[in-house]
Amino acid sequence: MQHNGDISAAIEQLQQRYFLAPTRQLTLKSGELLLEQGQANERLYLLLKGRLTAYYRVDEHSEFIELNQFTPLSFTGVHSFFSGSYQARFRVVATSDCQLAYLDKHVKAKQQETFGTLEQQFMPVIVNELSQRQILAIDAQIEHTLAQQRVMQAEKMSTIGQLAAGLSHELNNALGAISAKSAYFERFMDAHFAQHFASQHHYFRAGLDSKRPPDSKTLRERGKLFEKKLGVGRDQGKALARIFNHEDDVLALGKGFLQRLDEYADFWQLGRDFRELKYAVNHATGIIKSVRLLGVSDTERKFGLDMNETINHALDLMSSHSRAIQIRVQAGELPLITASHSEWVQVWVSLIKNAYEALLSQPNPEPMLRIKSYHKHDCIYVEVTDNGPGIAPHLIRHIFQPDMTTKKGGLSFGLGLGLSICQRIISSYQGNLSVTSEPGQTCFTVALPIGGNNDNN
Amino acid sequence: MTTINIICVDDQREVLSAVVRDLAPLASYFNIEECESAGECEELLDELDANGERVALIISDHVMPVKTGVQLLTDLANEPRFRSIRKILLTGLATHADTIKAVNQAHIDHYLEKAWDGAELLQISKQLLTEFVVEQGLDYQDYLSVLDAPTLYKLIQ
Repeated sequence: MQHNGDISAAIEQLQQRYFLAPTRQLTLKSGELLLEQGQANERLYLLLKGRLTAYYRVDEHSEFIELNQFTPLSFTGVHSFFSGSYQARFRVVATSDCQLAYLDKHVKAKQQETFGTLEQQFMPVIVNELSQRQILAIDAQIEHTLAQQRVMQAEKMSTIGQLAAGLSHELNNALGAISAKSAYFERFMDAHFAQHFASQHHYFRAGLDSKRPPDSKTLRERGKLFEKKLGVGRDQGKALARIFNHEDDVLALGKGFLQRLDEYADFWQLGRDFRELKYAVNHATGIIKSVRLLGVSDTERKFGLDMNETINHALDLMSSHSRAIQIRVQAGELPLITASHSEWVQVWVSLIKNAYEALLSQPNPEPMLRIKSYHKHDCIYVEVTDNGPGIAPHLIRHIFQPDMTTKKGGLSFGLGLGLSICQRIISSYQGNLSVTSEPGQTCFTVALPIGGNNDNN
Repeated sequence: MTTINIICVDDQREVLSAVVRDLAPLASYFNIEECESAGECEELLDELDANGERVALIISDHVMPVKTGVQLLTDLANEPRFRSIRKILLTGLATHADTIKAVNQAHIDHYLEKAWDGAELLQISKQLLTEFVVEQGLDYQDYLSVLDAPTLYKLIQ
């Protein structure tokens, strides 16, 4: 037990007054029993050297649980001595070699005229003992409540996991059908147009093979430019802006093309629709994957996890999104740890997805993602760095909030939960997630102490 | 005949282009614009307003990065220049509180859930456009073929 200054001084004075008699000194070897719960004890002990540990059991059939430890100078047996029960409340064992001094119940008060009765002299010690016990009781209650909350949270997550599994099964079936039927429909149209509408077919194919268009604002500006340069109407300018990047491409096709633009644009848009159907199905499948990861059923923490493996798994999961982006992985040798595979995959998927979205949010000639893992000072470090536009200074404080998102476009999960879930998982391992960002370099660093307490919470 | 605009706002392009597809029958009478964010929509509104063009209808998603659809529509409801714009909220995810705010503060004219029915969206848009044309004292004869006849009849009888 820890004492504040006042009580330490009081204990020292009492030691001088009562605990110097050579006949009432005692030594204990480590492991020896001082008091047994429920047994008679007529002594008040003062621990001078070594360490004592108190244990308690509810009844004879239950196990002893450790209550607290005593270090010098502190009293043991306060309750049995002063309550007059003379019966030990706890089992007390020496957990290292100990030196003690003691009083028995026949002791007489010294200097009573100055310091009062024995009880008065020992009052600070008694009060301190009571307050220490109360603090212990409060701590135990808090620990108990937290444990209950963890159990409830685990139950909730497992329910979400089951729900997500069922839901994703059903949705994947439906999406499978949509995807297969639209592919069939697309092939049919493609063949049909090729046979019967040869000149329009070219535009259908162009729409089908078109890349992701620029954003709506760029399209609007391009449309206006085309209006001016090509002398076409607003609607035509807009339609052309979707299909062509530059007015020269339109001019190259000759006057006849513009006259039949509406017809061609319709076929182009039809091809584009099939393309977007595919995007939408991919988007939905991606979301289902994320939700399944979110409600992970496997949060069990087992020894033997190689952090680099979880990073590779996450990269595999994200591979369909990453063709345009260069990935450099610099995996250092890491010690095996006790952790849940899927929790860490979830962390890396979130961080990688964030980086991808940052990289794709603005034109970048050489989008690159670097992941580096290393082991230093009993910590595992993983850095996820992208060369995207960076996080605006006014947003950086908020990025770990659950409802914060800057995401747009097809890739995103879009609920803005990614980083807050990451942080929750990382802190449950006593780890830390930090970020530094400037245009061209944003780095998320996970620091994970490996000596840490890996309780499943 | 003044240019009248319809603005569609959604951060997901596939959705945006599908909405525009559904409104295609209106395209020969109204100019249909696409925006991928609330901010872009506000910018476009200012630009159109500066050019003396009218905006009759905004169809907006709710859950979008930076600024939500309900927030956008609320701001527009409080802006005298844009108070006459008809507003449709088209959303797949809005909480009860969002929805209440959409009605009480953004004064939306219609609430549609995703996935929506293209024909229904077109029909509602026609009704709201009819209201706008009559309310603004425009010559409805110009737009007759894309206006909603029962609504028109009710308003001018």
